[in-house]
Amino acid sequence: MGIDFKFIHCSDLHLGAPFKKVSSFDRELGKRMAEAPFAALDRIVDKAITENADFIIFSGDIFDSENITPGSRHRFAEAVKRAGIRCYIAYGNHDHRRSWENSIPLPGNAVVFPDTPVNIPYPDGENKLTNVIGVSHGAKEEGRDLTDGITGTGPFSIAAVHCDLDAVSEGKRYAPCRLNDLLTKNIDYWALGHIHKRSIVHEYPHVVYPGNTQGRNTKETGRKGAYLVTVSGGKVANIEFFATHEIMWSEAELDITGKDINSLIGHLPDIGPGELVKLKITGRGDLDRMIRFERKDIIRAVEDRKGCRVVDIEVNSMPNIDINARRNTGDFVSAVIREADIMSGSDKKTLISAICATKASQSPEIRKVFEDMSETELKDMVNDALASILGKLTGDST
Amino acid sequence: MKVKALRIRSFGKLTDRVFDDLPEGLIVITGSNESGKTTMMEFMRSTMFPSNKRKNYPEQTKNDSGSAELQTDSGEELVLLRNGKEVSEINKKDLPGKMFSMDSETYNAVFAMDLGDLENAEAISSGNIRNRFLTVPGGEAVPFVLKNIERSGTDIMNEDRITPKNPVYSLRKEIGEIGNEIYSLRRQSDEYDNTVEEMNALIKSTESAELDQLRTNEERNRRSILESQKVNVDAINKYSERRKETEYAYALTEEEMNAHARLCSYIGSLEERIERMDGTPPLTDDEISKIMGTERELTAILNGKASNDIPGSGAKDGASAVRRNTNAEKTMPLMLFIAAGISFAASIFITAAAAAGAALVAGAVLLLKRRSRDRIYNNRETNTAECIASGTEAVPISTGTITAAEETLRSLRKMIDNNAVRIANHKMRTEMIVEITSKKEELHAIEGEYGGKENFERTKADRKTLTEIDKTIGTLKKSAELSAGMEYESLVRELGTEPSVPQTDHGITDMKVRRGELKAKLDSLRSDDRLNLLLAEKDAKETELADKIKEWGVLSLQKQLIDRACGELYASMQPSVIKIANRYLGMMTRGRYTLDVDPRLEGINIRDASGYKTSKQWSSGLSDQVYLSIKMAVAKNMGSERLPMILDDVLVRFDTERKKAACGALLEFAKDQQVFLFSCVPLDGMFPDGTYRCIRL
Repeated sequence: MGIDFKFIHCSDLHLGAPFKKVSSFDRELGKRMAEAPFAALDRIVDKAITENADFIIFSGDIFDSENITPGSRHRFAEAVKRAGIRCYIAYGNHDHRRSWENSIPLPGNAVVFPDTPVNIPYPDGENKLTNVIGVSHGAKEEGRDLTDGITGTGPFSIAAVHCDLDAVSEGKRYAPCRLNDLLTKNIDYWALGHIHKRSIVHEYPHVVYPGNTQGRNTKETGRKGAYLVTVSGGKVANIEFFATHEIMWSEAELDITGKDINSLIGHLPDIGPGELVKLKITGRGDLDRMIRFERKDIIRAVEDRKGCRVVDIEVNSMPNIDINARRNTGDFVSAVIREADIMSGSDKKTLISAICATKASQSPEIRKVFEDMSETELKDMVNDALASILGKLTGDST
Repeated sequence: MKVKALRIRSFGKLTDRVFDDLPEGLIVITGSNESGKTTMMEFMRSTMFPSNKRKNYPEQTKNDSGSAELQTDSGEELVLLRNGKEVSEINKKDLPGKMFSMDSETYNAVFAMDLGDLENAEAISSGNIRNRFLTVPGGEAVPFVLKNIERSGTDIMNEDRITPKNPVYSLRKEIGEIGNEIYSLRRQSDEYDNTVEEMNALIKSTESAELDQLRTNEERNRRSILESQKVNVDAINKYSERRKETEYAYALTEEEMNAHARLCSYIGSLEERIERMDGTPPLTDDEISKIMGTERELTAILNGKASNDIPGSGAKDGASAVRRNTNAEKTMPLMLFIAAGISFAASIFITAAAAAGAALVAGAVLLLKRRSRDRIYNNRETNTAECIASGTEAVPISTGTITAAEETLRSLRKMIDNNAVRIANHKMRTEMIVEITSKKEELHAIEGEYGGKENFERTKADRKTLTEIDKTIGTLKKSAELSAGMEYESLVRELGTEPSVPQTDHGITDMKVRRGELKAKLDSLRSDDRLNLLLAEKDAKETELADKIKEWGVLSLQKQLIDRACGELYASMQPSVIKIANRYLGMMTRGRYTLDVDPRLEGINIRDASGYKTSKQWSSGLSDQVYLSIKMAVAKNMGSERLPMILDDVLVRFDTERKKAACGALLEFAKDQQVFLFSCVPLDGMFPDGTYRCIRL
């Protein structure tokens, strides 16, 4: 067929986006975090140059909403210029325009899709290798199915869209579309963006989310990057994932059951140096008390052992108490357990009312913190409270 | 257990005092101050529950001695013997402390006390007694835990309002400040476009201003160049003035000057030729004939001698022949020669040539004479001229004289020959003179046109000056035109006009400064990572705030759980001691107060219609009432043995009504438990008759 080319598919760079849920802030970490999305962009460009890729597709959310700065855009423009190959850009819900964007124009090798689908084949001229059809979000909340009107026509067609396939996200605000529809549009490769977890949703035709290029919070764990797609003979021959993240987020579960501090630290899961780690404490044991009341020591021990940075800790452990056995002993502890049972059965509103019982906590700002939490999270708080009380009532009073 | 008898042999101030047949129930022991009430109480409690920590009163001595007869609730008899500080049971039985698991501190705190001991709330508001008797099971740590929770909670956020000491407050403040900074940076970012626009406009303005500046500079330079040519223009003007003075000389044409010059030159050359030409006039005929004559004579002489003396011989031979001449022969030609010379000289005075010819002739004669003399005296050779010059006497002709004569003869013949040239020269000279005369006339004719030679020469000089002036003016004009880049007339015209004042301040410097500022601003905006850092910091602070609020939420839930658990237990599991104490307190306060044993409350609290009161809010009388009630209730419930209660002046701070109420409660207490009530005042009327025994010390 002679249709042979390579391209890089990436999305959700979120340049300028702050990392989320990192409470242990310091300047050094802050700089690392601020620089990480740009480092990921540089790795994409490096890969394109090294692999002699024909073009790059950016499937939206290159920038991060209100946080886009002239510096972010300038650095993106510089990166596109350095790539030196055509860069297709379909903007997403986080890429809405700023007034000054025209003052920092993208270089000539950048092709920005408008908010209606257009086909800009590659390369220019008669000997085109592929159609590249793309469409950008017209608004921050894009209710349209942007894949409407996209139809492949040539021997090989790529479509670049930032969309919410089968409404994975909440609501239908982010260009919702359906996989079944996509499969009928004669597109060989759907270069999608929006979902931060990479996935090859379908093959032949390919429907691909490369995920974001740099994890931004404790939920976005593991390696992050982009795809190098090789088309040979008019067919997708290979999809190679390559990592671009500068900082890797990881989650480490520590089961305290039957462990003391030494055995707990001695059996830490695989955590790489420099990773930002969320510790998830589970199990039942005497360490629960230490976890709850002296957690800094645990965090320091983990960081020292692994060279990582613990940025979050979720305590789901319980003190070494047989809750079921203590529920009916008739003493104070049993009363607390019974009350916790009752509270855990309450709805979100009741739980928030229980929490926000003081005058100060009635302020909308305080209530909002809890209103933003799910009912499950609030019930986890009840469990947390119960475990803490039990730890205090049954241990040394601290 | 009850005390049946006390025998105090020696204890403090009491000696040999016996109290037998002590009854069950209430025993009131009265006595004035210093009568020994406290001493007796101390003997009782330190004997039943001896302690190393016994109070100093009365002072302990080795002589302390006595005994106490006791009967347990089970009917067992005990006789405690006291000797010094040692106490023993007479039958080696266990002492009551060990027998009923009661330490002396507890007994003294709950059962046997003076007013000071009664006020000691610590024994019942904390520790074992509280946990055993005054709270719900498992709730012992609740006050502390609750306090801990509340402290932790208020550390994060006060109940009523968020204060500056709360991290919630400080974090919100920090977030606000970061937010303001972010807002400011975003505004700067939003100004990027305007800044770029301003920059572009400024670039255009600067370029335009620079162009204007360039033009101004060019104009200045041009003007400067024009001004520099003013010197040339001034010079040209001067030359032009001078030119006017000599302008008349233009009448003298070039042809005229050339003709004049040619004539002068021609005349000069003729005159020079005439000057160089031999001016000797041609020999006259007469002179020629004289020379010819002399020549003939000399020829003849020479020919004659030669033929006589030395026929066909050479010069030397001839000389020899001459020497053979006689004096007469010698004198005649000499004289002839002189005469010829004189006549020749006279004839040729007219001209130098003639003179020369005469001289030659004369010389020839003289020469002949002198040679003769030389041959005679010196026999040496000499020439004719020398002979003539020396004036020496003529001598007979010698060979040398003959030679000189021959030379003279040749000279004479040459003179004759040259005379033809002289004639030609003379003719030519004459012709040239005529020519000169003719040309001078032409010359004078030309000069006459200008007033004579002198005027002509001045005119010619002025004409030359005029030419030079014109040449100079031409050079200057050309130079000025080249420098000014314009026609001379235009230059003069421009120099004659007032120069327009070029604009010197185009604001370029200010614009460049502003451009520098804008560039720095744009560079800063493009390279500024502060916003990203601030966003990260803000998010971290927000996360920290949310974590803090969540932490507070968990603490709030802990408090809620404890409150609810306490509420549940408070309603259903009130300890029996509290119930009894409440009964006594009710009796003492006429039902006004009840004890509040909420597990969440620390210490001992009471409640009335207005709410609960902590111990700090009690009066001293109320305090005595509360603690007496509680201690009576604890004493009633502590252990299985009903130990005797010993109270030393604990009613002293009660008014009559309170005292009576307290006595009523004590009387009830004493129904099944022995009570020793020491009082410094009689308690008559406080108890119904027959309900107690009174002992007066």
